[in-house]
Amino acid sequence: MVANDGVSLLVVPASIHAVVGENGAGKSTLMNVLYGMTVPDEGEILVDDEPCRFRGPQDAIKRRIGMVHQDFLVVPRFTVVETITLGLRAGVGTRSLFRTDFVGASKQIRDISERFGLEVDPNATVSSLSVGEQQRVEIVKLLFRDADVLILDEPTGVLTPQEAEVFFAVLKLLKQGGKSVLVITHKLNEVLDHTDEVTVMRAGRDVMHVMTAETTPQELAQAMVGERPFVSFQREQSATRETVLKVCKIDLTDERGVQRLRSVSLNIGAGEILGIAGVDGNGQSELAEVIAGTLLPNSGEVLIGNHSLNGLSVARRRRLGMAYIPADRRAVGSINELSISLNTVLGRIFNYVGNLGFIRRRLMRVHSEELITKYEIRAPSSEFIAGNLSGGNLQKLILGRELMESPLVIVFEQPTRGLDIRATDFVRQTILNQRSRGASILLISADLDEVLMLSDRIAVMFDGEIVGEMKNENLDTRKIGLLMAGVRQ
Amino acid sequence: MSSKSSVWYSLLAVIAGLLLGAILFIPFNANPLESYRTMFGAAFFTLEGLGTTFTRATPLIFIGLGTVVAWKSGFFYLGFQGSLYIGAVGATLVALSARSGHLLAGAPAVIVFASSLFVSFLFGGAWALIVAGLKIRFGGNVVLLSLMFNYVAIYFVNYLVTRPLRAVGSLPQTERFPEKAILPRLLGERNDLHLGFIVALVAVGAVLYIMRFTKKGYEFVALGLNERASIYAGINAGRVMLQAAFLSGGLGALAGWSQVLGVQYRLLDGLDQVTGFEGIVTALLGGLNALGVVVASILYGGLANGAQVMQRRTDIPSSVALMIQGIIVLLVLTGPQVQQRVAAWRSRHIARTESTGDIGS
Repeated sequence: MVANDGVSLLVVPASIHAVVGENGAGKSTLMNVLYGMTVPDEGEILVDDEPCRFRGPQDAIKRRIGMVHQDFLVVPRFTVVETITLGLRAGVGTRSLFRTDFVGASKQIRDISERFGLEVDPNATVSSLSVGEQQRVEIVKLLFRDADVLILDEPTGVLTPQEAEVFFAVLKLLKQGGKSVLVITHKLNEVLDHTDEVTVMRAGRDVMHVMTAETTPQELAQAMVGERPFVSFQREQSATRETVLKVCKIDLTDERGVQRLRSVSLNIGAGEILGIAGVDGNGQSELAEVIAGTLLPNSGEVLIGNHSLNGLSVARRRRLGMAYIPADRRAVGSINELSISLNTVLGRIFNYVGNLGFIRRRLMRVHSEELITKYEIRAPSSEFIAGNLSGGNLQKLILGRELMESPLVIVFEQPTRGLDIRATDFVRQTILNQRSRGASILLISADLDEVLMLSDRIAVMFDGEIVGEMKNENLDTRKIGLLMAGVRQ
Repeated sequence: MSSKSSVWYSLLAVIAGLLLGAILFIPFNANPLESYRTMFGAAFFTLEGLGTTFTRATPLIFIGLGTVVAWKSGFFYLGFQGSLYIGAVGATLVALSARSGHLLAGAPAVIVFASSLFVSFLFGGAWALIVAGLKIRFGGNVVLLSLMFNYVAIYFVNYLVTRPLRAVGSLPQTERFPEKAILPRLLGERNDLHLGFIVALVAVGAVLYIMRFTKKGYEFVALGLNERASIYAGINAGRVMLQAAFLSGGLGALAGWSQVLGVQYRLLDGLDQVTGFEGIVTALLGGLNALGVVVASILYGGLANGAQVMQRRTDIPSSVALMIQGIIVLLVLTGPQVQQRVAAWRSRHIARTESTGDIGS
């Protein structure tokens, strides 16, 4: 697959440059090329008009390009100065060949901190720092290595709003200090408020390049979302029916104190698909987990019919008719090391307990063989190890298992991610069949096309909040694009 | 990798270990073949020797089973030494209460037997439960916690036998247990084999049954393989881990039970220094499988038994046998890696022959 197709990008000194785009638009690939993590098939990188060939990050660092990843890798027990000098040749700043001059390095770190407003204590232990502070350490690390171009991947994704404010103040100082900053983001407000230039990527191409001052959120959103080809599955019109799944004012704060869900409310009727559009990481998986019962919200309520699910275990919810197809098929949806038949009963083992507590193995095998036939899972037998199935076949196994008992409520999370076209079609058709059967379906997908194709109604999530909800009729995709990027009219 | 091939591999590793171990006899001017014949003959080929071997294997089997249950459930418990000591305390309390003038004085032997089994299991299970509870409630490292708890148990027994339970005399130990609390010998007084071995075999059957055929076993294995998927599937991870901890600690306790009631007939200081860890080794040798545990424990017990006989009859120290045990353990535990390399080499080799075949045709 072509992840980047003839992309050009010009970064000038002393500027903040945003790269925006949907999931899978090719932003990260482009940054990995810049940082030497991926070697491009074609094209070249020029630094100060000099062509460079990066075979690894260390080559990029030599040309003063540095990157901070979304999830920074730190050694929790190291101090800040140890973290920053980690991997540098010993003897930096000293004449000694073997010892790192921590005192000198600390002084240098303090200088950098002062100059760019990056408050860090060189002697603090990394594990005692907040995520915002750890991010600052990562930036100081790049400056310590004399980076002139700083690539920041979704830098505000992990920050609290207060931390984000501080972060943007730092960016400004970096710019004033002559540095170039490349920010990958999907939040248009941040782009409009804090950057100088924008490059929009879509489907592996750079579709737009403008000065921030000369554009509007509408224009950017349209460039991000583009013209959607009209794809449609055959499906009958649904009549308005009674609400089955009700989600009321769910609030969720994670263990670090970051609010992940903000007063989320939803209603889904029988035979209805509610699609959640949104860029990954805006609270969608947390919502799915709260409904499934694997995460407990701080407040709010989930109901099936008139039954409140508050305080009910995952197992009880499943018995009440809840099914959940999680995003991570291999780490959550199945147990890789076990056979297909043992995976068929995952979450439903209580149906297979016979006399004296024996598991009814024959029944288990019959059911899993039925599943293999019905869902056309390509496997030699029901004793085949599930982890050796291809992604599509494994997803079919999980679907078949979750749908076996005709659940009332089904949560699909990224149901076609990483699947080939045939498997994707099969999964989508299955979702529509469940709708015809009368199930209430919550469809969470970062693939906007998929949401548009299948949903009766669409809700957009941004930063843990439902920022808009609409019927899927004559929709203006630009409006959805704007909402996904956090811009409200 | 099929389990069948790994059984073959383990067998191969044992043979290779014995061949390598043969070198160790050379400094003692001993004929390895002769020495092995003495060792194995004494351990496996007389009824009396076999009785001693099985008796030595008994506590190893209990600890091995405990390891299978705990480790398969993702609870990496190393506190079997502690469970053994605490289980021995439980058995001791019941046994001492069968003395005349105490609670169970009038009870028939079978009641004493059943209640010693029950109390010992309960004590050891509760002991492991503390570690699991601490881990679930406060987090922390099971390996470290359980190792530290071993010391608590060891010094608790030390306290019991020097103070409250000490018998009159110069040694820190309890009174000898009354006859009806002692596990009966199975093959006469001259053969060590006692009822504990039969209980161990029953426990093997029980663990096999639980792990392979019951809902609980399925939950143990699922939790051990993938905690997130288990929680997703509605398994109550905390509760299942507590159950696994209780079961494994209880099984470990029966090692102490069989030692005090079947071999030593009293509780004493430093009652067993090694079994709590050797049992973990036999579980690993047996591929964390209940039947494998039996085979590995008997092999281990046999080597130890044979080595002592050899030391008695010749000049060769029994530590030679310990070294051979070590070699076998290393070979078996590196097995998966070696097997992988062999498989990789083989597939490369096949690919090469196939590609040259293509060129030829």
